[in-house]
Amino acid sequence: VSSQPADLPESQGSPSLWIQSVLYRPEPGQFDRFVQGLRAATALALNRGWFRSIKLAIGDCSPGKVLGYEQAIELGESLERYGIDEFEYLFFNDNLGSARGHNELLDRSDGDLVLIVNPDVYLCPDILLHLLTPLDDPLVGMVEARQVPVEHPKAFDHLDGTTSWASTACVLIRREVIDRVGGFDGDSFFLYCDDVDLSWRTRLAGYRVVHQPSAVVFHDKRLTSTGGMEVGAAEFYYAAEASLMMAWKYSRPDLVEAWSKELLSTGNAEHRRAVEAFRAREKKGTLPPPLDSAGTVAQFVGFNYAEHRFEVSA
Amino acid sequence: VPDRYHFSYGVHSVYPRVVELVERFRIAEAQVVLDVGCGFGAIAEPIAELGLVYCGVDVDTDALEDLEARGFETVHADLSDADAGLDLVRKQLADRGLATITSIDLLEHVTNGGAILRNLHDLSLSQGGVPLVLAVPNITHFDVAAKLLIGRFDYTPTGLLDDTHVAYFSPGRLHEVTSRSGWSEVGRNDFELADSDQHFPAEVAVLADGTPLHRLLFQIRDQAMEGAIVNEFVRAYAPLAVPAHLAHPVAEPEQPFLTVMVRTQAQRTSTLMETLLSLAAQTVQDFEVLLLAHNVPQDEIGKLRDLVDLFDPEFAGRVRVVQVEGGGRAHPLNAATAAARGEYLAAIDDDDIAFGHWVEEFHRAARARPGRVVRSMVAEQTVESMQWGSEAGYEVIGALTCPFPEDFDLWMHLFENQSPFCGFAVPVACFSDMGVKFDETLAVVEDWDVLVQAALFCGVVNTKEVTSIYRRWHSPHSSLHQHSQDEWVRSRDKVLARLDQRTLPMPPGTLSDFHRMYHERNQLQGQIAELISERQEARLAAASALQEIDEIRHSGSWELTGPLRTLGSAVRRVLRGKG
Repeated sequence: VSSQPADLPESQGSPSLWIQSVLYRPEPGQFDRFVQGLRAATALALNRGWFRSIKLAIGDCSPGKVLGYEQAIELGESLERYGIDEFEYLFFNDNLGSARGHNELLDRSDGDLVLIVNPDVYLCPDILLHLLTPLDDPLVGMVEARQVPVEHPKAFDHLDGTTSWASTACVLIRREVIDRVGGFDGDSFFLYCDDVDLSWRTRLAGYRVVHQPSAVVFHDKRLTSTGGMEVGAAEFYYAAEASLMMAWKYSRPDLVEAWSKELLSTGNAEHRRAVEAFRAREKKGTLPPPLDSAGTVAQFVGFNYAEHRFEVSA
Repeated sequence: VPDRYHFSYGVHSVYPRVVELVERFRIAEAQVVLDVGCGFGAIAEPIAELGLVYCGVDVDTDALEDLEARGFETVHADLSDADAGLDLVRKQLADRGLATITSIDLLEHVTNGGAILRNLHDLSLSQGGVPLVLAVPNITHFDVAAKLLIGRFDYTPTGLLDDTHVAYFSPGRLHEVTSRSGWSEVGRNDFELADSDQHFPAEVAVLADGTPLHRLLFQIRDQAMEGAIVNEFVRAYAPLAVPAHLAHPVAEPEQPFLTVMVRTQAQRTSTLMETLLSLAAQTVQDFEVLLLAHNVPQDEIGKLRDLVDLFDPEFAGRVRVVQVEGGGRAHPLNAATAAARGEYLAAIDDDDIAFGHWVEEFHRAARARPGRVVRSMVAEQTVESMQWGSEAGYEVIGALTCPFPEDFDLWMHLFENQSPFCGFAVPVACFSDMGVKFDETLAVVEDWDVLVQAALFCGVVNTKEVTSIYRRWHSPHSSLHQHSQDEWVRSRDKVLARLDQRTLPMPPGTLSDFHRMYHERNQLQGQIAELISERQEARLAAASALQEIDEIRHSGSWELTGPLRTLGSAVRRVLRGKG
């Protein structure tokens, strides 16, 4: 952490950074912890000169405002003391979902780089340096942080970090990538797989997506007593819906068919509802046009979108 | 002074121990030993034999006359009176130097002991810093404590419960009274009596040596605090330049719920950073962190502090870097128990990681069942070393598993550990008041040893939540690799042997467990007997069948049909070959 990053070309100087996060009914204290981790990471990054400026935008999809007017002003002032140039808080007054919420914020963004983070994370103080380093390579479009305590099992190249997709729990993206691929597909994805889709379109545009194990973010997940992940009913629905959409969008009608059958025969009520919703869109003709018909970037490994190094839980 | 206090200078008494301390700590060039509250002056002659001048101070005329008759100097003065009392003593001393002040069996008879000690402190400083030797009965002797448990408090004419005592001293109380009066302990020569004058009735189970009850109570008293068999504290003190009661009081910071111990040798900065990150991200922040830098070079200590200071000040301000030198794995843990300010103590090593509710669950369960050990579940994951550019990192290579049981089972823990260190929190009072310590002679399993002791004392409450991950290194990093299997076995055997020597305070339900195991054993024995019997019958049947076969083979008809059987076998071989 004491070293300077292997900088972007000197003529460019340090980049500017836009950080954005979308809230939806955060647990009590969660947003405060998020801000605490964020301000230490940004303060270090600014003190060390890794970035010339940092702005923060929060979009709120919750039914009621998470921050009142006074609180937002107060937070902005406190962040200013940590060197953050600008703080924006947008109350959407609607649950737009992750992808649309992020697109709303991306429309306002103006940094050379964009950091997309979940609000239930706590950034490691030195994370921004580690996320920045792989961007020395102009072909790297997205750099994903490693999540702890539950690490994602996606495979990655041990030499250059190349991976199938990057989770937007915490990812640093070149602004030019956003401009070229056009942000998230909010029409197709509400809660899940918007990041897989963005990653694959980034790769289709010729960039690499990189997993950076030294960039660490604490993502507040919990385990069941058998070591499995805690999953809510809504997650069943959105995960199933997103799976079908991914298979469709990446030119795998065979998988759409197979997964639909499996979800209908062995799935729960939420799974069946997701299949029905997908078929309704199919009928209406509102599904997105399929991409990557040659299968150059899309990876369907079971229900996963990458080879996995290990099972999440035994 | 009543005649009952006219004690002689016995070899097996408190007096020679006082004189030994006088010899050790007296001002060499001075001559006078001032014996405050001297009574009949039991140490007068031995002091004189050392070539010193004994001078007794008391308010009792009879006692002083007795001393004078024996040729010793006396001062009739009350030393709780700062002006008159001290003036008389100074007058008596004239220009002679004061070698030592002694006070034997005085403080327990007066209600103004603090004032006397403060005046003696002033006298000491005015004489260039003269030491003080005190002898005071110990009210926390095991005999007194054990008898209190059965409702007995037996006053006696003299001794530990002398019916004229008005003040009582424990080790802590003596320290408090002396330090507040400006005295700092420099030496001790306590008078021990395993069987004190309160050791009656000797046959009662709490007192009788070797009874299970006596063993249990004595081990609790002995482990908890010094002085289980001290009859009288005999201590030497030096005067403090600034007495504690005059020093500026230091405001104690608010007590946190939890003290978190993080052991590190600063060899894995990447994993340490993650451990700290997981603590910074806790949903309940009512804790302090002791980062125990064990055998870490001085220049690396600064780097550790720098690493901590990368975090938000609100968190970093609650992390203390504690430098610990020497000893094994348990040594820093004992350093931490001494420095802990929390109500509870938990540990997480610098390669383990907490979930966001690690502290929250400890807190919730401790509030619901105060004083218990709190145990959460721990997941396990295999990792291996990996280089992250120039940095030593690691990679997860295995699934998360939960191999440890959901609930704490004391019986199973008496065989082997089923609770990783990061999965439980122990009340700090278990260490500070019950005297539990991490055994520094153990190469490993020091946490298991403490968990079992704490569980026996406090009981255990289960949170049933998975709140941390224990990382198992698939490389020579792990303690499993660093310590040979032999060491594990040796340490385990040592823990079990020590437990086996003690009377264990087993919890309610133990008898039922015994019964269950007894019935299971009987059932199994019955099943084994049945199996043995069945095997025997089978053997007999087999032997009988073999005999019948043998008889058939040697019968006439068997021999006559032999060629037919040979032909049949040949035909079968040919058919198989074709198939």
